[in-house]
Amino acid sequence: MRTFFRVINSIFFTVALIAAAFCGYMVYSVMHYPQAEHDAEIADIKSQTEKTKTDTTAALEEGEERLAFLQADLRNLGDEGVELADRGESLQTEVEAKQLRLAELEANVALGEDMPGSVEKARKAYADKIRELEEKVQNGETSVRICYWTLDDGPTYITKNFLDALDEMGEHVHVTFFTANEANNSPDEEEMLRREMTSGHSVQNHSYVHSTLASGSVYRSTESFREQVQQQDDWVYSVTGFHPTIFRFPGGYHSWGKDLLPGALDVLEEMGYKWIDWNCNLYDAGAEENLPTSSLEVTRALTQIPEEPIAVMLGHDWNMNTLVAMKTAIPRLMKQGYVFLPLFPESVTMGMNAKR
Amino acid sequence: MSLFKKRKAFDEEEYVEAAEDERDEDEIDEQDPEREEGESEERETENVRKTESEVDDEDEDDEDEEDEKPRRKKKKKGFPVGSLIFMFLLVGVILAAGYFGMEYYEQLHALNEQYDAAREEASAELAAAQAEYAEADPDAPSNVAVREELTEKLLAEAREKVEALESEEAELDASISENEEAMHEIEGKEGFDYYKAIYDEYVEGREYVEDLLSGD
Ligand SMILES: [Zn+2]
Repeated sequence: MRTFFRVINSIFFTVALIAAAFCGYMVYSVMHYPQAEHDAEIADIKSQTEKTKTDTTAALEEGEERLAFLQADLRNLGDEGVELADRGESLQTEVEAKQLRLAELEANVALGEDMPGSVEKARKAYADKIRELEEKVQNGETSVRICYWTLDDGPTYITKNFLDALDEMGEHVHVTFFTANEANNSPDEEEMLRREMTSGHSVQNHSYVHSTLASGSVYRSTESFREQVQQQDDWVYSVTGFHPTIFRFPGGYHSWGKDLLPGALDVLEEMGYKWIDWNCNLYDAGAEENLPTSSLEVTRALTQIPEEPIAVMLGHDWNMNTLVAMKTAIPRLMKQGYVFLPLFPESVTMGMNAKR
Repeated sequence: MSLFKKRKAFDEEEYVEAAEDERDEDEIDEQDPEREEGESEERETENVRKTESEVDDEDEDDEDEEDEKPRRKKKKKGFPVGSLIFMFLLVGVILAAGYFGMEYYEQLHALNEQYDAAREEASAELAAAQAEYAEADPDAPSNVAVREELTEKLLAEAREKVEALESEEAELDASISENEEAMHEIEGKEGFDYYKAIYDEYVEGREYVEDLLSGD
């Protein structure tokens, strides 16, 4: 019995020791589990992952940058790229210059093939643009104001001075000459007509003899009226190569033509003419003793014109005071926003009856 | 001390224990006769001892008559309760240690598994990230190839463009010389300069008005 217990207990004791050792070892293992080490190891892997991801983003960006660099400039594509870029640039410059040269040549050739036709096309395009501007002015859509400065009865012996003065005022100051062959005579009248044309002014019809009196009057009959208009038309055409298209009645339609020759407008319409009076007046024609001083003309110009968004000023290029007044008034009016354009039959002012 | 006395001192101790064992075994034997066989040898030894003791007893019968009684009493409470308790204690310890050991073993196992899984997951993520990096690396052969392809494509386009410009230039040259010949004749025409001057005035005038129109 005793031995039995002794043996059993020895065995149990050994087993108990082993079990305790096992238990102790396990408890120890759990208590001292290297959690921190494992955590650190995993954290290390994770940080490596994060770093790799950051590296990947950077690598992708760099890849994009390298592609963008290649696309940005042909010169970034090595020697051949540089060569092609240089060649391309010089070719481009040459081609552009040659395109301009060709366009100019073609325009000139077209002009040469039909000189009056090409000029008329250019005039029409210009006149249409002026018409657009007039409409904008009338609708209050622009601060620009238009003045048609007209000079009647030339060319005269001082028309040259008027043209010189206009040239001095700037390349965009243009007027309209209502010419009448026999109203005034000067040796250079044909040259002046052509210079009026080549300076970009408008050359129009003011009848051939400009007589409103007695037997030689423009308004004696519709026949004589037609003859007067046609004669001046022929003369201008023979000298300039262009037919006038606007008629100004000697003395004005409102004061002379309307009453003296009721059928005049029909005649003009038949002849394909437009007509115009004025809404501003320098009153610079008449008996010599009654002619205004240049300063009075300036005053008239500076008081009348600003009242009209589109002004049509009546003046005469045989009056020296008018030349002086014009030199003063036009630059001042330009500062007020007025532009000085030539009159064409496309203008909204056609048929304008004078207020003054 | 005589040998006898020595034996007697020994027996007093041994016998009590042996008797205790014997009675214990007898009780068990009655219930479990099979065990008798294995223990017969021991019993024989004990019988020999007993016989010796009886002989001794007979010699000292007179004088030991009175000592017999406490010795019997001692024999009766000889069962090793302590050992039994100790055995149960050990069993308890084994069971407890085993139980807790297993509990903690499972915990340890779970922890290991958990960390293995976490490590595996993190490693897989790292591997995926590394694979992505390898793909994104601008110096990777595939990316180098893409750039080379692009370069070739761009160069081809540039070559085409240069060729187009060259042929355009050649065409322009031909047109220019054609027009120049025509101009030669035209410039000799009477009035060309005059018309050209008017033409230029109108073109410039139109441009001026166009500027005025777009100015507001
Ligand atoms: Zn007049």
